[in-house]
Amino acid sequence: MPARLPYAYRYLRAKKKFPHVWCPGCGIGIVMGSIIRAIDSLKWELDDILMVSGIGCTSRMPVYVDFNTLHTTHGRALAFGTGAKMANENLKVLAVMGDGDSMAIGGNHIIHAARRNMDITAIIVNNNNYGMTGGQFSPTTPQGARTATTPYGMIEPDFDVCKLTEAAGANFVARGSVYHVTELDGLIRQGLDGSGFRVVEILSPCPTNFGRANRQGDAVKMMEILRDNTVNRAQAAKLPEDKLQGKIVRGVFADKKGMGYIERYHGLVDRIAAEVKK
Amino acid sequence: MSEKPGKGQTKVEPCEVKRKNAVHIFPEWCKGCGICVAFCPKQVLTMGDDQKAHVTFPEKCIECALCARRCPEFAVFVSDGKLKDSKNGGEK
Amino acid sequence: MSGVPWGETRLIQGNEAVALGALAAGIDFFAGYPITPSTEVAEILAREMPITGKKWIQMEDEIASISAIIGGSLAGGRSMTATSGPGFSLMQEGLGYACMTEVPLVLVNVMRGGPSTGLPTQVSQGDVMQARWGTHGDHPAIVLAPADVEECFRLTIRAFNLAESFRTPVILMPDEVIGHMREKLTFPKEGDICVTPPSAPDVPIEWYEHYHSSATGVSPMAHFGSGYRFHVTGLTHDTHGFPTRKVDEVVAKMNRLKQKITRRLDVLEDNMLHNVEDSRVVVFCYGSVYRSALAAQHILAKKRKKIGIFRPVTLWPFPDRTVKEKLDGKDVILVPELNQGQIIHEVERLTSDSVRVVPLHRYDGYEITPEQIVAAVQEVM
Repeated sequence: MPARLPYAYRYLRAKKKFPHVWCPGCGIGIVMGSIIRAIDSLKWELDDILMVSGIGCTSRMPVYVDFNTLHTTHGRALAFGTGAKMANENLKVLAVMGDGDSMAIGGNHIIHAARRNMDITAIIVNNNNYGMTGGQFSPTTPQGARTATTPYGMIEPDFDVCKLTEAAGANFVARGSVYHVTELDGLIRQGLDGSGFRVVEILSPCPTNFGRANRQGDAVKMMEILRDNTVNRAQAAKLPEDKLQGKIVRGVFADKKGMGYIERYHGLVDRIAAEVKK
Repeated sequence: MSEKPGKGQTKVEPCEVKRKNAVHIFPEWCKGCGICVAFCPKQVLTMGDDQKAHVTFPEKCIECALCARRCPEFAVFVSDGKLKDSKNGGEK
Repeated sequence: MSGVPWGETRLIQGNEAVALGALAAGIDFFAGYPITPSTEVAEILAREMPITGKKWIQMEDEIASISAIIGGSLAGGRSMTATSGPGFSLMQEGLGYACMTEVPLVLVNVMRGGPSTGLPTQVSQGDVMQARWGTHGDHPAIVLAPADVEECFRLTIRAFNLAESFRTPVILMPDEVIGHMREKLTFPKEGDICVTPPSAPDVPIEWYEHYHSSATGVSPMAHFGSGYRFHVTGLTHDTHGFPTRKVDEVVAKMNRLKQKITRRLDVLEDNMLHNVEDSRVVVFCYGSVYRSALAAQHILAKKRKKIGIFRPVTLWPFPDRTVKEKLDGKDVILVPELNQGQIIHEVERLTSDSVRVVPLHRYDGYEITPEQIVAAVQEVM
């Protein structure tokens, strides 16, 4: 360990918890680092931050960070977070969830959190399967892919997390990848700093389950896939239709300043008070 | 004298010239995934036989800190821990 | 009318009394989903709470509702939700989470005909066992069953107090008849009610253990944003709240969860006994059936027939010791229930074979009448 402690230690809970639980080459640790750098740059007070999660590999993140942390039931992080934000508006709530947790069992809660524009940032780590339980398919598993419950290849179409949450009403929607980590730092910072419902979807490798089932190689190879198969919006605009086929676009898709739920609720309380005075 | 670093190669002998050591790897936390080694734009790092990453060519380091940012384990730190903005990139 | 009509006398509906009881107890946050016959609780609080700036939200389903009130409670707000059978079933996972993580909350379940969609607008007492064991795993349960409108008001306040003192969810469970009946209620004066103040840690931040093994088994609780940062998880955890699989830590947690309740029956038990000592025949009942039993006792007294009534107000933890003490040795215990027999098994468990435990079941969505109880008693006497 270096003599001068790196800044990250201020945000990590206790050394004895490390090395953390995620597999070698899993991208969730990269996301955690990116979140910490974003919070560091925003100079937030640790006491004001609530990290809430559901169940799954991504949802194991809260125990490692020195914030107020809440590890809940499968799919319900946004509902717990909504309650916490309502009861204590000072809390800065960020929900970390996987693709299965947020889009399958949590699907109902994410569309309503987006519709209400609830003041929560949703960080969705998308590794295209249910990693923790052994690599079963999720709503973001691509068609044809092999998983523990699609031994003959996935037959269902998949969700586009960004299109769905943008359509449901989220203020901020972005997609990044753990390979493009400097860009990711910026996207997460943008997603944290604001009001209303903010979504940052992050493509990440699962070498142990999805990668192995689909012969994508080791962590390094899967990172290369993220490097080669994704493009940012500027690049996408320049590519012809046929070259864009099969590529995933990264970047900011929505950045609105719609009224967040807490502000709306204050408006209601003020309006009632004014009517009572009349 | 310096050989091209590759996975599984043993560490190269330290040379006479004083090296700046900007990158630090915490071996207890390293899980040997190889990401930092593979994507260092200057090939500063190598994978040892011990399945841990090592800082083999620190004199080549440009302190872009992509290794630290991309390490999932918090096992890599650059300089005094403050991550500098990427200079020459490394990301496409 | 806005707020609690302190000191005044009003004609009030049971559900309305529950809502007013919550306001009296200082509710900060309500999250719910409409379901007959509990909806009035949500609607009245939707009108009342924003007036004082308190937070009210209708969530997208019952699972979101229970989740939200747990989050709200951890963030420092006194929280409540209201539901009925199908919603109560949906809330079970969340309820178990709150039991495991020792989060205070009040869950109002106004019982209706079941199972499944059942008889949405009609009465039953079909959720008694579910309220005890609905969620998986060994967990504590505190369940209160009001039998009139005044109790709907007072027991809601008691529910908030017990939730805070025991750091656990408390279920307030009127049946539909109690929820929808209207009675005269004289509200106490504002200073005359007792509200348990919110829990707060009594040690500096560095020493704080979110699940400290205190003498009572319940440790003072910090809230998110208070400066005490802690981890909450449904995984079995140690005294700091971090997940553990170590045998001694798991057993310590499980034991403390159980003993938190079993060692404080003196506070939790709450029974009403009428003429039990002098009677050979006792009617064991709860909720709206208690009202019919009181009337039946009156009718039988006129015929010079004496019966006792044993009514648990706290259904769970079940009053084992008192039941054994007072009822073992009676000739007959009649157990009228608006279900196919749930609490009767507890009575049978605690009384010897010489005691005849006689069921009186009604599960067609209508009340057990005083006449039905009278007839059943006359049959056994």
